[in-house]
Amino acid sequence: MATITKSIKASGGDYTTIAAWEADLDDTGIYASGDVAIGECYNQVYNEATVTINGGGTVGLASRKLSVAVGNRHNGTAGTGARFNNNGSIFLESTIANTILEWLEVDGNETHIYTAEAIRMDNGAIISKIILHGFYTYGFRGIYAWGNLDVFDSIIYNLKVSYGALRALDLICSQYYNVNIYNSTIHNLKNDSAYSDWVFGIRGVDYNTLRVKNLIVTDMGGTSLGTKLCYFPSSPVQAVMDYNLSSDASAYGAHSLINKSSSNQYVSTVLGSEDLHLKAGADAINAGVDLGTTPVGVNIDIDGYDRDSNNVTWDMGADEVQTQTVTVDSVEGIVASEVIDVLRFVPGGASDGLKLSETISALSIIRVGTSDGLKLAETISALATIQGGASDGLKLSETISAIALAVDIVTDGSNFSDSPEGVATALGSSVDVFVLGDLSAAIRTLLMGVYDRVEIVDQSPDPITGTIFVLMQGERPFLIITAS
Amino acid sequence: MAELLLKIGTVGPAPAYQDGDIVVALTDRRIGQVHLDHLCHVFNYGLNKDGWRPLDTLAQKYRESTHQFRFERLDEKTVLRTNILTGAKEEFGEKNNKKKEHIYVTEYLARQLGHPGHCIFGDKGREVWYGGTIDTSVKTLDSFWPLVEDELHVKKADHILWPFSDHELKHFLALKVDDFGDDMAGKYVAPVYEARQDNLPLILLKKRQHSTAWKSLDLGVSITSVESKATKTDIRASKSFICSAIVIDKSAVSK
Repeated sequence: MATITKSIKASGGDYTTIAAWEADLDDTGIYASGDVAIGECYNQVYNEATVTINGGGTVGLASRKLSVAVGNRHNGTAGTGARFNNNGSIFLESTIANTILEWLEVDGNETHIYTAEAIRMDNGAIISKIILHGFYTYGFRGIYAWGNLDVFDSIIYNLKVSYGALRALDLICSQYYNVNIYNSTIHNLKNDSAYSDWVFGIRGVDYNTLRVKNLIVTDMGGTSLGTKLCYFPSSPVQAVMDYNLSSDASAYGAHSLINKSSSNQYVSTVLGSEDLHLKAGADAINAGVDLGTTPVGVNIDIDGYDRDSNNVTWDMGADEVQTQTVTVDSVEGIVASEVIDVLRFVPGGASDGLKLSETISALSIIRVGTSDGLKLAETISALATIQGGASDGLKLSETISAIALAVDIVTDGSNFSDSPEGVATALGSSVDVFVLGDLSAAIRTLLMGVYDRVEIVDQSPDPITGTIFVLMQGERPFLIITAS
Repeated sequence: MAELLLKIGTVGPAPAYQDGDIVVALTDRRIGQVHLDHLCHVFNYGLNKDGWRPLDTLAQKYRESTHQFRFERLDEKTVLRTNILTGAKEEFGEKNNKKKEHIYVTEYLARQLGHPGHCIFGDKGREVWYGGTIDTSVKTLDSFWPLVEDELHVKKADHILWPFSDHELKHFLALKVDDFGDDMAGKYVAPVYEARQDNLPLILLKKRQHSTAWKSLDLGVSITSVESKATKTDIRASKSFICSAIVIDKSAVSK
């Protein structure tokens, strides 16, 4: 038994199309019984017509997975990773036990497609980290599914029909098959049929084998006079539906949130520039239920963030807001000087793009010292390149002075590893500039987008500001983040 | 000219692949697009000193030519969206408009800029990006080629074949054929289904149509070499075929 990974890309890969990769799944020169076949896409457009993934049954593959190579995956928004873009569909057929589709963007490009669904998934299929959007057609399902199946950590939005019913997720359920729909986000479905055609975010059948948790479904609309519901059934007797959010009243369960506005959930709903990550203060934050690690991968959100290993309170939807700004990839040896570079990227502000108070907040996370050899003078020089503004009244010179005070703590020979309490106290003494509150969402998001791993090695109580998080690079302290 | 990629060798009884099934059908438009996508990929043009994609590169111009919307950040909270085709402009901020559209642009850009494959062009505070539908019609792509030829000193005439991998040219047979439309390309590779009540449709044939005549075609190479998976066969530069003469509808035949 082996895992056989093949690259699929227009230049330099094993295959140039998904269909060709799939067509080789029964090639005994490549695969053997019990093998796991993985096709890895890359950051490019896969403009293919209908792709049917049902090969491998003759060889006897254990599973087949169509994924995207690390470093080429989307960031939870369209146009940032591998995009399946055409008027065709993806069919996942059950010739073998497991068929996995993940990390792909499926873009309808507002064109009519030949079939009535973008993805058809048969018994044993698993879908995760999919972005599916932009299908403007007739009677349509984003995902049409039957059998044992899992859909999680995916985003579906902007589906519209001018005739017939519309469903983002249409599930053929029975008492024999387990259907798990978890941590996904569905937004903006429109049915403009002249008849009384439905629009459902998710439509299932009321069996106890149907489990729907941690979903966000918002804005089922259009001019059709038919039923418009985020969830169907909306009053299940057997189906396990709870911890969901809806913009109407159809999210069932004691822990669900109903009648919540989409405007208070997402970063952007602007057509063509959608970002359905949770905005700061969204209702869905910390409102989900911990699903652990079953089904496998459910704990990894649309950005690749592990809810389980980070032991966070789960949000509803595909995105998990990373509430603590603790992002250092010690494997890559990120150093403070690089962090400063990152901070320069922080947008915001009116004139210079960053308010001074935000600058201070950002700079305060930089603990510059002996760990990476960056000198104080270099630090201040670098910091000076970050322009401050006058809007909040604090002068840049004051900022630098304050920072210098903190930097001195670790550049004058103090060893944080030996005395973390001492440094914590020292930082606390300059609380007039180091009272940060929580780091801004922009900085938090930015850092999370840059670094893959987070490690909180030590948490020392700060007597004034709350908590100091100490991040380690190997055995050395590297960053301090204060958060109230 | 279009291209077909044929399955060589029968895998098993239907609905498994049959010898000669069309695995991939590529229109001339699609072939042109794959080359432009590659030549104009943002990865080819790097980042400016602040980490944004530089303006006035082919990567940016390609998006300007093919995308529906251009977005420009106006200030801390405001974004201007321009419909490139019509010129219609609309501003967006943190409050919903009548269409329930809003954007927290700082958060939006922070996430984008943190992604290694981001497509944010311009300068800090004056970022530009693209979105909406993507026009990759023959007209649009053909009108862009002269710019590519001029700036990269390449010729479209050298980019008329699909860039199949060596592996594909060993395992499949690529044929150059007269062009067909995207609709026909979809039909060539679509499966044949049987509808079922309370269940998904059942696949009867993996591919609706196939080439039955490939072994009798004047390929200029031996059938043995085509069937050998150790030998790379690429006859596209020297041979071309009439699609209608080699493609037969299996479902029609079975009736």
